[in-house]
Amino acid sequence: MKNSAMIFVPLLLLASLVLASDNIATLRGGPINEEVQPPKIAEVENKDIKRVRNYPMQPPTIPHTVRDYRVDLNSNKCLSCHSRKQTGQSQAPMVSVTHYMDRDGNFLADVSPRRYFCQQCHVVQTNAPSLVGSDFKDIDQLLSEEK
Amino acid sequence: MKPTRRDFIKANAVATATAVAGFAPASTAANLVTDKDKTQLTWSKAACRFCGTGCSVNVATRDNRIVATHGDINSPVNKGLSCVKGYFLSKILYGSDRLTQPLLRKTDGKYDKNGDFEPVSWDEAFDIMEEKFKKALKEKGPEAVGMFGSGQWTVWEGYAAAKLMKAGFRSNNIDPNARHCMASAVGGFMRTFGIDEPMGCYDDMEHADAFVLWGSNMAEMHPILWTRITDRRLSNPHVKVAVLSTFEHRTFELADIPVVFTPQTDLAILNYIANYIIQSGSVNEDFVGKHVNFRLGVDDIGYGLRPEHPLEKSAKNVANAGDSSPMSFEEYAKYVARYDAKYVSELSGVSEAQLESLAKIYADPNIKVMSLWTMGFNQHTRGVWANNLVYNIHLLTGKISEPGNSPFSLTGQPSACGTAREVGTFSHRLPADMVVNNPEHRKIAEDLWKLPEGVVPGWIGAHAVLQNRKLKDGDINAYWVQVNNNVQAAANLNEETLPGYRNPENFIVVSEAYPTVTAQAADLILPTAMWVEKEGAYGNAERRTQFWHQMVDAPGESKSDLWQLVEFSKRFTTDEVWPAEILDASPEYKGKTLYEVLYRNGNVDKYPLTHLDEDYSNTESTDFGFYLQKGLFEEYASFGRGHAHDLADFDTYHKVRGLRWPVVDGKETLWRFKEGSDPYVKKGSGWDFYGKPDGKAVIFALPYEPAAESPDEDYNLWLSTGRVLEHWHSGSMTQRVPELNSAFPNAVCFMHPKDAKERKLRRGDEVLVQSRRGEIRTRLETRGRNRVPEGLVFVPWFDASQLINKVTLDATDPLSKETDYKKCAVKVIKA
Amino acid sequence: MTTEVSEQFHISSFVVRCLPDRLQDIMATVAALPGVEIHGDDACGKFVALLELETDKALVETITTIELIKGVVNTSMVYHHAE
Repeated sequence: MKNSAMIFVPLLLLASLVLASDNIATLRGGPINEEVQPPKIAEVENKDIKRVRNYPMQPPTIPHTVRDYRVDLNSNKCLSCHSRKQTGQSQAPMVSVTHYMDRDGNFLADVSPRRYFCQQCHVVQTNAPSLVGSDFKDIDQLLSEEK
Repeated sequence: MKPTRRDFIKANAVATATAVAGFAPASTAANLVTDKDKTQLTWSKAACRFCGTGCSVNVATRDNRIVATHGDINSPVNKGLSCVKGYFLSKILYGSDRLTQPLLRKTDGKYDKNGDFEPVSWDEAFDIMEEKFKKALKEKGPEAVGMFGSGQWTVWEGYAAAKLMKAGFRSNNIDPNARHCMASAVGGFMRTFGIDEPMGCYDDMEHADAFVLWGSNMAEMHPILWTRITDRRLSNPHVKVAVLSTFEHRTFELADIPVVFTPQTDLAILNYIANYIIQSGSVNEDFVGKHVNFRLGVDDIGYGLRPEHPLEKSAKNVANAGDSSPMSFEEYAKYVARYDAKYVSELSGVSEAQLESLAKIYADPNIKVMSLWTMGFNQHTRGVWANNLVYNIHLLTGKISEPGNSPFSLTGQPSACGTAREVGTFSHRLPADMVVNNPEHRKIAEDLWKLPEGVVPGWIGAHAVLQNRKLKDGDINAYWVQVNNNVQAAANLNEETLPGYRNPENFIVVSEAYPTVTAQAADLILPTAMWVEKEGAYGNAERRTQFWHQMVDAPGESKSDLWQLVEFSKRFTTDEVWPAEILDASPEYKGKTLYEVLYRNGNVDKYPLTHLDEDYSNTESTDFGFYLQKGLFEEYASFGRGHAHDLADFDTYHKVRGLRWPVVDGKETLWRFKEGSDPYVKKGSGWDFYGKPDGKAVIFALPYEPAAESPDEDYNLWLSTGRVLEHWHSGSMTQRVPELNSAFPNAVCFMHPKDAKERKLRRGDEVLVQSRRGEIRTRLETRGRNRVPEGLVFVPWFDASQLINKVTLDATDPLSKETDYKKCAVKVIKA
Repeated sequence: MTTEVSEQFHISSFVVRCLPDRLQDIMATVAALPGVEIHGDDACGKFVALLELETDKALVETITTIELIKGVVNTSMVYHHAE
């Protein structure tokens, strides 16, 4: 009885490690030569609830929809709530102080033009599920594990 | 379980009370950590892993893990900024499906092409690989082995790979995926200037009065450079921005002159501008007289398809596509005269007024103009021509090599310049712009490599597209892919790539960090260290070479591409891979391993481990017993020093935020070919295009010719493919970052609302995008960031679940062999 | 916002002081009370009690119960949150 169990266990382990050759690509999840049904177009999360950042330098993700937000040569819809002078009325978070600095670190009277196109760094989030888990650990998680 | 708000309140309650009681805070406490030992992070510099901009980032590590990244404030490139991908670099290493051990297809414990993947040891992996490479070499010779690398290789990885293939296996069948990306730009540089890479630099962006974007969506693809142009444009109201594309995208948000043109007619618009410059008397005659030659290029050169394709059979000049003959300025003027406003406006769909306002930017001697382009020009069946034609208009006006006057080829990949191009990992190239079919160049390489004469073969190897065709045809049988995802990238997946990879005659090895579709199509997968899991060097679009240290260890048994290449070389002896006549002439090489002759040649193993920086680990050097990266770099640098490709010494790059070559007497070069800023320019010449024997650049007379495939009755839409801001290339890194995946989770087909209505389709409908080669299922998008014109659809290629390369056409520029991913004919129907 | 089980809740934390030799017994008694968790203690006779209850009445009753346990010197509320 004991013997057979000992043989059985490694076999089981090995079997579970064998990967079917036509679906190892996690982001595809099927044979290359077949087409699967594409998921519905994801909906942008629009709850206005702040999300925790992975580290302080990470630009916060946008917690609301930005559909039809014009940001062009003539106007910047984002700044109509998030610029310093608008935050009293909008109660939106003010763009961070770094955004007032030019390339050389000097503070300007208003948001630096180099930061003008908000969505180069700040992106919306949708209800689409993650395709793969992430093993990233933030500093607090690491510190708590150090103990 | 995600912590709830209630958990958070409880944690706070406990934390506060334990603090009051004077206990050590509980691990869940949300109070402030102030202990210096805990709050201190190790910060190191690295080049960003993504695009060719070459931003420098600071990387924080603790306990052998990356915990944060941000833009490097000391970097002249990005001055503290990153794009959204750059800000999430910390997370690209940590997808939970990282590959950690070699995987081999097996049945009943033995390798089987049709078996399932099973974990094997490195020894077993290299055993089967050795067997297959030796078999191919023995039975068919060096032409039966091949390697496909990348502009994402570090400098020394590309260099070690080129050495192993070209000198070790004596096969020039090595090409980088930069073939899909920058080959046309290289062709343009070599043809016009005789030397590769931009003459200007990013500093031009703070000096130009006008920017013209020719097929480049910088706002999404080069976001940090776009911040510099945005800064310049918005801070200086006189500055103008013109954006040309086949559809409206985010870059149009800053456009003073927005131009949407019919695909392929960019060639005609460029010739119209040249014609306008001549007709309006705006030619800089002094400059043109001293520094320019005119040549007539051959036309009707085909589309780089298989030779039996009707388009190749009907083309006149397939065999001599690169030929040209001298012509006079007057002849050139006459040649472009047919590209008048009326003709070009009709052809391109751009109004005559817009064409003129565009031409005036170039013609006005008081406007300093920067032209920028990426894949719109390069991924083009006339890509080299497009590059030549844009240089024409800068050369006609003398607007070149001066601050703000700059034709600037933007680079796609982080080291397309530094590795793919400068190192010479293309199938026709050697380091420092030398080529394999020049016997003198081969001799230089053999001498610097301390190898016997005749080792480096003179035949031009198979380029990327040809490699896939040769795999399908069974001509290449042992094939190694590193740092790229070509099953998702290469056009015409169904008819060429997949049959090639799965051809029973072939053995395909893929070195990867994650299980991509390329890995899935492979026979052996080697788990690979990525980015700061190894010491690295990249070279960006402005000739800036940047280094970083190994900061964390790779997971499991993963090893860097460099380790894999060098370790694998130990398994071959010269007797097995070099012909007897070479060894008889140089018997001292007999019986040596490739490892000994390539990497223990007195150059590569010159620097002892004591040269390593003790603050960082270096897995490869520790393993081989010498400072491998330093030895490889210094041997490589010896090719370019004194030949206008000078690099600084190895240690310098670990201290600085990169330097732009040529670096002469410790000084980098900002503007090449211009007296005063480039030390290679002859005194008193003003400008010196020293890549050409007579110091003169070339203006080429080249025509507009139609695309390889245009919409017709059956396939009635243009298909353009490309990237999105949030994802890098095939998404294998960025889709594993939850925030980036969530921001843009799946590919969609962007279509004009009228086209959708005509087809009775609505936003969100499941549709089939079909071409003569294949189809994908996707969802229809009629709004969002890309506003396509009627008659054209755009589909991004990052999504492995929607492989748009089943649909695209493998037509290439016959000169650069680069695929046109921007133009083919499709139809879109309801699924 | 995540749905909570009940409409109202009170979360409070207390530092409880007691005679050091009675500490273990007292903690065991306290931990057995409904809605109470123990977080950390020291040999001097201190421990932290976390109370999570649905009404303020239940909260007052529980803390009174703790104060009446033999050997408890005093209790001091550090944190209170109600919604």
